[in-house]
This record gives sequence, structure tokens and C-alpha cells, in this order.
Amino acid sequence: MDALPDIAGIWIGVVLTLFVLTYLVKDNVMFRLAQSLLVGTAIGYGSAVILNTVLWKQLLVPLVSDFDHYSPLLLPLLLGVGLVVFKLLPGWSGSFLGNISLGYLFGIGAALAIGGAVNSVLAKQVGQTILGVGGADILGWINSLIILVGTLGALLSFRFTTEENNRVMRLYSRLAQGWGRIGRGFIMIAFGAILANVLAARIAALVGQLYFIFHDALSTIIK
Amino acid sequence: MPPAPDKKNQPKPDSGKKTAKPQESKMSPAEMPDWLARISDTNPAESTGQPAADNQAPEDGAMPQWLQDLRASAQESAQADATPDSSGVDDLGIPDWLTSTGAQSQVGDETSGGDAAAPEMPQSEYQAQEVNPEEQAELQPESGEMPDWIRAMSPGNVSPTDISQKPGMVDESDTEGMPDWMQRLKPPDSPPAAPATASESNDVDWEAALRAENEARLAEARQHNAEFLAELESSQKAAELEATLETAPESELEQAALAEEVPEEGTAMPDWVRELMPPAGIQGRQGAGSPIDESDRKDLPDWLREAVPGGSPLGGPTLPGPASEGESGLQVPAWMSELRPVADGRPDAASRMEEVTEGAGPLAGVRGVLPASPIVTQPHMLAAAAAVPGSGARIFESVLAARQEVTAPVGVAQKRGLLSARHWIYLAILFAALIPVLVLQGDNAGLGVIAQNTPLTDERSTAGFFAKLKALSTDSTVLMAFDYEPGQSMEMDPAAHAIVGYLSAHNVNAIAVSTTPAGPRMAQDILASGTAANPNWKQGQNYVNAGLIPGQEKGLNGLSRQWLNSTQSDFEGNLLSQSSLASRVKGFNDLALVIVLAGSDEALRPWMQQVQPNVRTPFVGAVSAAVDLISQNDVGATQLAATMPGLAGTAEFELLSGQPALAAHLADAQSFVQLAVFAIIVIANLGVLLDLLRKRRTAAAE
Repeated sequence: MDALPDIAGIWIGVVLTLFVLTYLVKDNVMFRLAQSLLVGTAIGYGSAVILNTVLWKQLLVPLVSDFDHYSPLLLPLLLGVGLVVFKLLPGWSGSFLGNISLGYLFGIGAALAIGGAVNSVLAKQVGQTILGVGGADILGWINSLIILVGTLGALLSFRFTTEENNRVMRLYSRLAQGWGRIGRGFIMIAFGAILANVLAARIAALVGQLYFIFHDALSTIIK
Repeated sequence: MPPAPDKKNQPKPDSGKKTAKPQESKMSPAEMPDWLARISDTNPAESTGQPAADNQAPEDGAMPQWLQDLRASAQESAQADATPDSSGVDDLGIPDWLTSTGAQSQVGDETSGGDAAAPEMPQSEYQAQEVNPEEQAELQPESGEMPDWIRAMSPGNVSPTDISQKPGMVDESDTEGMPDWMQRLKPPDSPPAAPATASESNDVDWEAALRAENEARLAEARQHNAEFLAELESSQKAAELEATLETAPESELEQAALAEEVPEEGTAMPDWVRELMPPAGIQGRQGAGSPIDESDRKDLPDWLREAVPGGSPLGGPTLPGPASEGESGLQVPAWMSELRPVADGRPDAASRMEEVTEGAGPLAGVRGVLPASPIVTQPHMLAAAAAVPGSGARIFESVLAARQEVTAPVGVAQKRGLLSARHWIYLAILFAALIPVLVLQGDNAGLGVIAQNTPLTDERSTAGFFAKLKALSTDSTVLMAFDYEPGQSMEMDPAAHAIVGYLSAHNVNAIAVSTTPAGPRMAQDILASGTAANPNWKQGQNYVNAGLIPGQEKGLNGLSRQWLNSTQSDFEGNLLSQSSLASRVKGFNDLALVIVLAGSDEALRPWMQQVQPNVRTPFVGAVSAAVDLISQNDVGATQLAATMPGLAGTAEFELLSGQPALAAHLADAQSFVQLAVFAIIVIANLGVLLDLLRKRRTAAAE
């Protein structure tokens, strides 16, 4: 037999699940109560984890226990304190001391994001699309051709240029326009597939929650 | 504004007979208006067949004495000049138009037809006759071309009795600034009573004739005005006036309309002019006599409808009389006031010849006032103004109409009851999910799971994922990233349970990390379930929960380069250095596989961008169904070896591993719901299609 706290936790979960489901009928207080509980507990739990795991265990404890060895940790500590203090205090919100922390945060984040995108998306995915053209059999060729046409068509569908008077450019414009329409069809198919997958994910959540209610919860009462 | 073109003034064939008296008038027969021709017709000299060139003097009794003296002096001057000036101005400085005026004055004396053009003159032009003759003389054009209204203001159109009753009009003081030619025209110093006495004997006759003829011409003028308005309405000028009316501010139009009002009779107006005044209803300028009935009043704008009572003629006596600016209460704008004459009260002669000067109303003295009569008497073209000129307006209207069509059924549906069509869809999905959960108790129903009946061959999907795990040797180590939120645990927890169960069953070690604060907690529970399934799979020895990796991209980038800090503690608070497993693994090169459990693209992307390019360890992903399609890009780029998408993929993995569990059981329910959603979409689209067809048939039948 499960412990009483576990049973209580299961039934609290059942009640809150029903509160959320009442939103399907109409927006009401019960839904908002469950919503507020979810947001509040998520933020509270996340803050507690960060305070305990990061600030305490990975920063303050090493500094206190062995300062000489972990003295470089003073720099992130000062940056964090500067960010909190100089951005929260009303009179110091515009101080450059707080901007130093923000600059470090955004600068490193942007540099890593750009570098990662170039490495993973531009280099690898585009390169794989080029090298992927062709195949051992006729189906491989067809598949590669579909990928090539769809990829280039999707790129051409985002072409926002005006038609020029030059004959060559006019021909290119018409070709790009027609190919872009094909690419737009590929994009629509992809959007439809993504929507279906999102729907499948939500259905999985619904089914899992119903299983939780009618299996886990009822099993605590009906043996 | 110059007077409207008069069709009556156009040359007529019968006017050719007046070409025989070029010396009497410089005006050619073609230029002579017919009203002047009629005056000439009434000349008794012509009626007797005597040529006009003879310049036959009228009877002495019909001509005032001063006029006879004036004519005599003019003839003497003409005889002194050998030839008349071809330029239209003789040596005396008298322009030919004034000479012709003198000739007309003779005719006027005989026939009293000098006022024949009076009905064609606007009210302000009547009042302009009160201008001092000296001023008129100065304002005469030098070119010899004289419009009709100026010609009507000439002394020849003025009754001699009226002139005789104003002896002070030309006195000695006025002659100081008078030119020589005008001084020669000055009557002799005889007492003013003399010409008056001479004309009194004929007053009754020619005044009666004047009234009779005036009435006839007034009637003719009404018809002429109506014709002119009809012509003006169809001409380009009417379009310009209409555009001017639409673009002009309403206040200006009101003031312009009020400026057209006729002053009350008897105010600052001589008797002879008052007698010439047209009867009520035809006052005003061009076409002002057109009565407005109720049908026409409906077409008028509000401000004009209020100003013009129904059934009353426009500009008739029902309109307010002439009033000064202060009396009328109208505020004339500054730019309008600037149009008034400057200090001497007289605009330049050239502009006065072409423009009409307002003589009454708030715009008194203003030149070039746009007459509102031709405009306001036309029906207001509301239909043309309401027309949609461009396609943009049509699109806007269609959007507005479409919104009305969309919002109306929703409002009706909400009023019908508690449950709308949307709620019925919710109930259908709910029952579709409950039936398998409550009824189908078998764990291996496998509805919709491919692995149940057919072997999996796609190496990029669940089969490839399973193959990667199957290839792991005993005592090898994998890194598991629990990067999903608690709200996604219903879909991701079965996958994590299946993977951990397989690893524990095959004694594969695992190090768990997470980039979300809630991840370590969920990872700990799942890893503990592995221990429950296989007691030999122990914490610290076979698995380690390294906990949170803070910093998102920065933390993962540091992890790929520096691995875990030995001083970092696990979820239980134990130092990683104290774990045998963590001590053995110094980096990614010691890992056999990286398994990313990602609930969203935002969770999967940092691993693909910050970690995978920096390591050689193969990656596989157990992802949510919502991320499956996007993760295929990473699979295609060989960043991910394979993926296990969603609950269906987990069920396939369970069936492949021979350990059917929760995912295989829930796959039946998910398949049921997906089939229900499919049926709802198809039925709803068919219903909409049938409804459209029914509406089209109904519209075609109507």
C-alpha cells in the first residue's frame, strides 16, 4: 500500500487535472487556480534548485571551503551580485556596473548561438543536402531530387524582389516564382505534418493524464 | 466672375441690317447682342426706314435739353476731327465704347430701352449703378471691348429722369478731377429742372412701355436662365463647379450662398432700379429663379436644406436680406476679406471688367465671388461621390462583410445553449480516449504500432534508435539528458522509463544531466525505477545523476569542452569524485552514446549546436512527437543517428525490446483519439461542403 503522502499527492493531482479540464467548458476560477499553482510552483521550485545547486553548492561552498583554490569563482560572483544589485535597486538601474553583467551574458550567449547555428545548420545541414543528391538506386535518386526541389523551392518562396525589365532577369524571375510556388507547397505540407505531430503530442498528454486518473488514482481506492 | 454666356447675345442673321451705321457704334453686328438689336429695332428712326448712319435726331420733346446740348457738342467735336480713331478712342479721349454708349443713350431716350438688359444683370450689378459716374468713367476699359453687364451700366441705360433727379451727380467740384473728354460730356450749366421738365411730359408713356417691356424680358430671362443652367449642367464647367463645391469648405460655401442673396427692396436702391427689380422668385443671379420643390430639397445637403425652405424659390424673399457682416453674424475669413477693395474701395479696372463685385451680404465688396446659384440649383451628385473608385476600397468592404459573416453564426451558437460545436468535439475526443483506457486492458493491443506486425527497417527512426542501444556493450556508459518539462512527462516519461529499463537490464551505465531545473528530480525518479527493476544496477556505481547544467548554451558548451567538474555534487549531494562511475568517465570520449530526451526544439537545439559539433560520440534522441519533424533535419545532417518520436515510438521500442509497458498500453488510446479526430475533421469538412452546395442551389433557385 502506498504511503499516505503519495496517495494525497495523487488525489491532489487528480483534482488539479479536473480544474484544468474545466477550462474546456468556460474560463473559471478553478482553472485559474490550477494555472496559478502550476506557474507558482514551477518558479518556486526552479529558484530553489538554482539557489541550492548553483549558488550554494557550486559557488559559495567551494569559496568558503577552499578560497585559495576556488578564488577565480569570485568573478562570476561579482558579476551575479552586480546584476542583481545594480539592476534591482531603483537608483542604480542605469549604472554601468549592472550593464557589465548584462553585456557579458548577452555577448557570450549571442556568440555561442551564432557559432552553433553556423556549425550545425548552415554547414552540416546544407552540406548534407548537397551531398545527399544521388543514390544507389532509382528510389534514392527520386528521394534526393524531391529533397533538392523542395529545399530550393522553400528558399525561393521567400524571395521578395521586383521584376526587372531585363529579359534574362525576367526569365529568372518567372522561374523563381514558379519554383517558389512549388516550395510553398512543400512548406505547407511540412506545416501540416508539424501540426499533426503537435496534435499527437497533446493527445499523448491527454491519454496519459486520463490513465493517471482512472488507473493510478482509482487503484488507490479500488483494489 | 464674369456673367454667364448669354445665348441671346449671340449674333443673329437679322442683325445684319445694323451694319449700315458703323459710325454710330463701333460694335460690329456680330458682336451686338440681340437685346441691343431689339432696342435698335424699336428706334423710330429705323422703323421709318431712314438709315441709321444719318444719326437722325429724335424729336425734341423726347430728348432732354441737356442731352441735346451734349449731343450737339459731341457732333461739333466729331466734325472738328477729320477721321475717327481706328483704335477705338477718338482724339478727345473718348473711347468708342463710350461713343456707342452715347448713341445708345439717344435710343434710350426715345424708347426707354436702355434698361432692356437689366433682367440679365445680377443684383450686385444693379447696385453698381449707384457708383459715381466719375468713377465709372475712370473704370471704363481702354480696349473698347466691353462686356454686357458694363454696357448695361452705361448711361444710355439709365433713365434720363433718374439722371435729372440727381443734379448733384456732376457738380463743379467733381469736374476738377474729370478728364477733358468727360467735361465736354458734362451738361450745360442750365438749371437741372429744365431737362426734368422736358422729360416729364413723356414719363408716363415711356415708363409704362418700360414696365411692359421689362416684364416681357424678365420672362425671357427666366427661360434663358433655365436653358443656361441645363447647358451648364452638362458642360465641363459644371463638373469644375461641382468639384469646387466638393472640395471647398462648407463654411465657405455657406458664405458664398449667402452672398448670392438679394437685398431687400428699398435699401440703398434708387427707385428706377427698384422698378426694374424682377419679381420675387427670380431674384438673384443666374438661374436663381428656379424653384425648388420637395424632391429637389431631398438632394440638397443639410445646411442648404435648412437655408432653403421647401417650396420657396431659391434666393427668393424667404432668404435673409442683405446684412452687413456684423448683422448677419457671419464671420468672413481673413483671406476673403483680403479680396475686398483696398482703401479707395475700387479694385483695378482690368480685374473689374472680368470679375463680379459683390454688392450685398457679408461678402460685399469682394471680387470674383463664385456664384452659388448654378451649383445649388443642381441636384447634389451624391451617387457619384459614393462610388468606390479603387480596388482597395472594395477589398476593405469585402473584409468588413466577411467579418460580419463570420461573427454572426458564433453569436447565434453561443445563445443556443451551454454546449457548442466545440464542446461536442471535446466530448468526442474525451470518450475516444477513455474507451481504450477503461475497456482495452491488454498491454499489447498495439493499435497503430508498426512494430507489432511488421519489422522496422527505418534506421533513422525507432529501429535505428533501438539498434544503437542494442549495440551498447555491457559496462559501457551513456549520457542521458533529461531536457523536458513536467508538463511533457506524460509523453516523455514512458520513453525514459523504457530506455532506463533497457539499460539496467543490460548493465549499461548511465550519467544523467539536465538543463532544466525540474529535470534532475524527474531523472532521479526514473533512474531509481531502473534500480527497482534490476537491483544490481546501483546508484553511484551504475548510474549517476549529475544534476543541473546551468547556463543553457554556455553550460552545454562548457560541458562539451571541460566535462563535469569533479567537485560538483550529484542529485543526492554526493561529490562526483566519490562516484566510481563518474571517476572513470573523464569526458565525451569515454561515452558510448549520448541520449537526448527533448520535449521541445528549444531543448534539442543547444545540444545539436553546442555539444554535438565538438564531440565524436554518436547522438540519438528520444523526442516528443511535436519535435519529430524538426529533429529530422538533424537526422538528415547525421547529427542525430536516430530518433524515437513520441508515445508511438516508445511503444515500438517497448515492443522491440520485448518489454511492453505503459507506452504500448497507451498507444491504443492514442490511436483511438487520433482516429476520432480524423473522423471529426472529415465529417466537419463534408458538412461544410454540403452546406455550401445547398446554399448555392438555393441561390440559383432564387
